[in-house]
Amino acid sequence: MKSDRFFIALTSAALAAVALMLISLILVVVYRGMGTYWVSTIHEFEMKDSKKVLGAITDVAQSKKHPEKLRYQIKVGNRDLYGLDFRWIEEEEIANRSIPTEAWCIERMEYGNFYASSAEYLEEEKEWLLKDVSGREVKVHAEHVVRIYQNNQMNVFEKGILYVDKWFELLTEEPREANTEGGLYPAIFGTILLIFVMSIVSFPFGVIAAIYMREYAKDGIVLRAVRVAVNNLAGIPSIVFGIFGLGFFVYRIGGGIDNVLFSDTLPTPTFGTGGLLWASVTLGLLTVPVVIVSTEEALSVIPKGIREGSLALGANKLQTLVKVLIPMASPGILTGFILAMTRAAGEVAPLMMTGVVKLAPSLPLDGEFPFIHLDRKFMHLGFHIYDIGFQSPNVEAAMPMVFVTTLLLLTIVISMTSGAIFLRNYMRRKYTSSHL
Amino acid sequence: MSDPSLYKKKQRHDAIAKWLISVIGVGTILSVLAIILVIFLEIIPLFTSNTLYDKGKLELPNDIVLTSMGPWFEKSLALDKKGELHIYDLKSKTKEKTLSFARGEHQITEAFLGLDDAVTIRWSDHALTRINLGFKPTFDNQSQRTIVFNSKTQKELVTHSSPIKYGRSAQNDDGMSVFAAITVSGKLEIQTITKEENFLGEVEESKTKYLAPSESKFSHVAINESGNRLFTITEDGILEFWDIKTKKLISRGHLRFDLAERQITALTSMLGVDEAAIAFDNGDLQVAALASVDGGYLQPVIIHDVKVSDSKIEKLVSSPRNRTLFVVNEENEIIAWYSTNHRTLMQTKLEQKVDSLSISSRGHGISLLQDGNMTMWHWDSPHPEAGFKAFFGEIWYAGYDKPSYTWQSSSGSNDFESKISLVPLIYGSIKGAIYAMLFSVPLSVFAALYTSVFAGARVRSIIKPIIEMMSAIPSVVVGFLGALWLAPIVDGHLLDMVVAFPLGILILALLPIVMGQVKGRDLMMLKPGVVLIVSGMGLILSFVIGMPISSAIESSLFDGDFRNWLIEFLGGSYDMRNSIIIGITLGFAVIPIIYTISEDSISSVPKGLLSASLALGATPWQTAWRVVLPAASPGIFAAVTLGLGRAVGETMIVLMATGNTPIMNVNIFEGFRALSANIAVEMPEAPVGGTLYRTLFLSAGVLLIFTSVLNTITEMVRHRLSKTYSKL
Repeated sequence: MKSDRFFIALTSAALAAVALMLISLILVVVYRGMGTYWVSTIHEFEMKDSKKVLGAITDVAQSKKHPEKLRYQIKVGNRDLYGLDFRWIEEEEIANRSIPTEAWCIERMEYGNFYASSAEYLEEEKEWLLKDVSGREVKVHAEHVVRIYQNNQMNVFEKGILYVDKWFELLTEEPREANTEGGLYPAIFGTILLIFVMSIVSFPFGVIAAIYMREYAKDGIVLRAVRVAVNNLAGIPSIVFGIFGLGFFVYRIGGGIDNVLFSDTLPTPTFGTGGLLWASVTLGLLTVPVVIVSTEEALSVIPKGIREGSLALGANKLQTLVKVLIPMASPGILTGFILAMTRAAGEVAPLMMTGVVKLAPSLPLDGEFPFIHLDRKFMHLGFHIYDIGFQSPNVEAAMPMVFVTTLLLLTIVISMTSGAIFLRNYMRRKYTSSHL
Repeated sequence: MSDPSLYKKKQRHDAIAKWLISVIGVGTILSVLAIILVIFLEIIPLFTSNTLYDKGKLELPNDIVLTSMGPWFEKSLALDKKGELHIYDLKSKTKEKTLSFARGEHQITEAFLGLDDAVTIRWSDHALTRINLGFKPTFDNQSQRTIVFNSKTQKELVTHSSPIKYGRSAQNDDGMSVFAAITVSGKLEIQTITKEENFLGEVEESKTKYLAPSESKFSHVAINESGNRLFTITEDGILEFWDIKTKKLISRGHLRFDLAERQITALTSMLGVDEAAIAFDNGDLQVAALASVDGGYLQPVIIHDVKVSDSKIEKLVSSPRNRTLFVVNEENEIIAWYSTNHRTLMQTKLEQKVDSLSISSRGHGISLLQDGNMTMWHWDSPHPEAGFKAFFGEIWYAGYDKPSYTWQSSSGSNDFESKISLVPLIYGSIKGAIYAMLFSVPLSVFAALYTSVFAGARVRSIIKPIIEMMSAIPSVVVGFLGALWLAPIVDGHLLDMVVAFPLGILILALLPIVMGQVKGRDLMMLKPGVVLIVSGMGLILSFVIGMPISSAIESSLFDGDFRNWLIEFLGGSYDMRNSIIIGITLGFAVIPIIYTISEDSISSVPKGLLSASLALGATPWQTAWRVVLPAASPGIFAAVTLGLGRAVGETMIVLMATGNTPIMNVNIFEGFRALSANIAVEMPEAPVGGTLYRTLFLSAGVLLIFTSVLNTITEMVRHRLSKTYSKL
C-alpha cells in the first residue's frame, strides 16, 4: 500500500513533467516575444580600464573567469562603429555603473540601433549628429531615422504607447535589415493567403471524397483498402509531400505549363519554379487525408435512423445529403477544416521545396492585373523562424525577431486549435443529447 | 409530390449529383494515392536505364589502328598505320579531311587513346608521339553550331635508344608532357617535355630523361589523367604508384599479385588521382588505390575485386567521365562495369573480333574497330553510380582507409566519387527516433495511465485539450527553441540533470511518506489536481536542491568541468546540438501522439476488469499495473509505433536541432543527419533528373515505406484490440 502512493506520485509526476514542459515552452515564447518591444533602460558602464560601455542589458550569466561573479550581455548597437551589436562584459571589470538620463536610442533604417550619449538635430543638413559613449560622432539623415527617444526619461505610459506602436509596425510594415528588424507583414500575408488557397484546393475535394466513400461507394475490400491507404497518407512525413510537390507540380506540371504558355520567357521559368500555387496545392494534398478522415467520422456518427427517416419522408439521396446530413455533420467537418488549416500553418518543410523565400520582392496579391499572382514566391512565418534563426549572419541580433515571429505563429495556431476543440465539444453535446 | 415534373427534375438532379460525387470522389482518392506512384516513378530509373543506341557503321580505309568518336556524335576519327588521321562527318558519313602526322617510312605499332582525349602513338623506330585530339563547337552568326577539329592540336615526340614494347603519355597542370615507356628488356624510361616562355616571349623546350632504378622488369605502365601519377606493374606482379614530379615511389609498401593463379592482361588509370584498374586472364577485374590500412603507411591496396567475365579480359578502357570500366574479353563480349558499386551496366556479345575500343571524351560515345570498319554506339547511362550496393552496401571508396557507409553527395572536383549510401542517414533517423522514444514513451505512458486511471473526469477534461494543443505546436517552433534556447541550457547544466533525476525519484518516494504524516493529507485522499501540483513542485524541487549539490560534486570530483571529464571519459566528440536535445525536442513533439492513443486504449479497457480486480483485493496500483496496463498493452504498442513513425519522418526539428553531420555512432553527445533533414538540405542543390535528385526521391520512398508499415501495424493492432474489447 505504501508503494501504491509512490507509483501514483510517479505517474502524476510524469503528467506534471509534460505539463511543465509545455508551460515553460509557452512562457519562454510569450516572455521573450512580448518583452522584445518594451523599451529597456540604457546603462552606462565604466570599466576598470577606463573604457565606457553604453547599452541595454539583454542577458545575465555566471562568469566563466570569475565563477562567483556575473557577466552581462549588453546590446551596444552602433554596428557601423563597433561591428557587433552585442558584447559580454565581466562584472569583475566594471568600475562604475549608472543610468544616464541623457542617453538616446536611435532606431535607424540601416545598421540597427544606435545608442548615443548625446544627440543633436542639425536643422540645415536635416541630419542628426549622434555621439557615442566615447565621443565618436556619427551623422544620420533624418529620413534614415525610424524612431528616436530617450529611454531613461520615458514613463510607463510613454513606453506603453511606443510598445503598441512597435507591434503595429510589426503587423503592417515590410522587414528591414535582412529581416531582423521592421515588420512581418509580407510573412503574415503569405501565411494567410497560403492557408486560404490551400483550403480552396483541399476542402471541397476532401469533403466530396469522404461523402463518396461514406454515402455512395459500395462497402467492400476495395473501400476498406482505400480507407487504410488514406489513413496512412495522413501519417506520411510532410517532407515526402514536399519532394513530391517539387518533382511533380513544380518541375512536371509547372515546367509543362511553361513550355506551352510561357515559352517566350524561357529559360526563365514562370510556373516551372516554386511559387504560391504549388506550395498551396502541395499543402492541399497534405491536408486532404485529414479532411477526408474527419468528414467521414462526422458522417459516420449520424445515426442511421435519420437517413432512413429522411428517405421515408420522400426526400431523395441528394436532398437527404444537402438538407440533413451535411448540416448535421458540419461541426465535425468544420473541426477537420480547422485542424487542416492548423497543420498547414505550422508546416515548413514542404514549403522549403515549393516556393517559400526569405524575402519576396512583391506580394502575391496586388493592383496589377490579374491581381492575384499565384506564380510568385512568398514569405511565411514558420520559414521566417527557420531562416532568421539559422541562416542569418547575425543570429544574436535576430533573436528578438525570431521570438516575436514564434509568438505570432503560436498565437495563430493555438487560437485555431482552441476553436476546433470548442466546435467539437459543441457538436458532441448537441448529438449526445439528441441521440435517436 | 404534387408536381410530377418537379419530381422528375429532382430525380435528375439526384442522378447527376451521384455521378459528380462519384467522379470527383474517385478522382480525389486516386490523385492522393498517385503520390506513391509518382515517387516510385522517379526512383525506378536509378536501377534501370542503361541503353546502347546504334549510331551506324563507317567503312574505313585500310590499316586503321585506332578509331574515336567526337564528343557530340557529329564527327569521328580514324588513325591509320602511316600516321594519317581521317576525320569523318557523321551526318553525311563522308570523309571531311585528312591530317597527316606521318613520320616518313615509320609505321605505327600501337596507338592508345588516354582519358585526356590525347593519343599516344608508338612508332616502329621506338619513338613516342603524343597528339591532342580535341573537338570544339563553334557558332556562326545565326548561332548555328558546327563541330570542328581543334586547330591547336599539339604534337610532341620523344625517341628511345632501345626498342620499346609499351608507351603511355599525359600532360600535367604545368603544361609538362610526360612519356613513360617500357623497353623490350623491361626497363622503365620516363621522359618529360616542358615548354616555358622566356622573358623574350620565345617558347623554350626542355627535355629530361629518367631511367627507373629497379632490379625487376616492368610489364605494364599507366599514367593518370592529370599527369602526376605513374602506375607500374613488374613482371613478378608488383604494383607500384609513383609521383612523377619527384620520380619517387608514393609509398614504401607495394602490392604483389600472385601470378601463378592468373596473369595480368591490362592496366589502366581511372578518373581519380590515385586509382588504377587491373584486368586478369581469368576474367577478374580489380581496382587499386592508396590507403593506409590499420594506421600503417600509405600503400596501394585493392579496393574492388570482382569477376566480371568468364574468359580472359583482353582490353580494358576507362571512361573519362566517371568510374565506368569497359572490358572486352576473349569471346568478344563487351562489358561495362561501374567500379564503386560493382554494378554491371551492360553486357553484349559481338560476332566479330574487336580490334580496338575507345570512349569519347564525354563518356557516352563508344567506337569499335572491327575488321577495318568502325561501329559507333551512343552509350546512355544516366545513373551508373546508383545501385543497391551504392545505397545500402559497405563500399571501399578511393582515398578511404577501409570500407565504409558514407554520404557525401557532391564536391568541387570533377573526379569526385559520389558517396550516396543511405545507411548513415537511416541510422541517423533511427538514432534520433530512439532517443526521442526513450524520453517520450515513459513520460507519456505514465501520464496516460495517471490520467485515465487515477485522475478524475475533471482533471481529464482539462488535460486532454491541453495535450491536443501541444500537438498543434508547429515543429519549427519546437526545433528553434530546442536549438537556440534549450541547447545552451542543457550544455551548461549537464551534471545538474544527472543529479536531479535520482533526486527527483527520491523526492517522489518521500513525498507520500511526508504527506502521510499530516492528517487528511494522504496522497490517496487528495484531489487529483492537487496531487498533480504537488508532484510537479517535487520535480522543480529536485532541480532546486540538485543544483548546489551538483556544483559541489563538479568542483570536487570533476575539476569543476563535468563536460570535459565526460568527453575524455567517453571518447568521441561533443556537439552542443546533440542527441540529448533531439531526444527532448523530438520527444516533446511525439508525446501528444503517444499520450492520446495510450490514453484512449487505457480508458477503453472495460470497467468490469477494474472492478473485478479491486473487488478481489488488489490495490489501485496493482490493478493499474497488473490488469489495466497488460489489457491495454496492444494499444500502447500501437501508440509507440505511431510515435516512432512520426519521429522518423519529422524534418524541421532534426534539421534545426542537430549539426546535420552524416556520421554513424551511438554517442549521445553527438548529432547526426536524418533522412528527412537530408532531403531538405540537399534538394535545392540537386539538378533535376540527376542521380542526387533521384536518390533523394529514394530517401523519400524509404521514409514513405517505413511510416506506412508502422501506420498499418498501428491500425491493425487497434482494430484487433477494439474487436477484443467488444467481446468482453
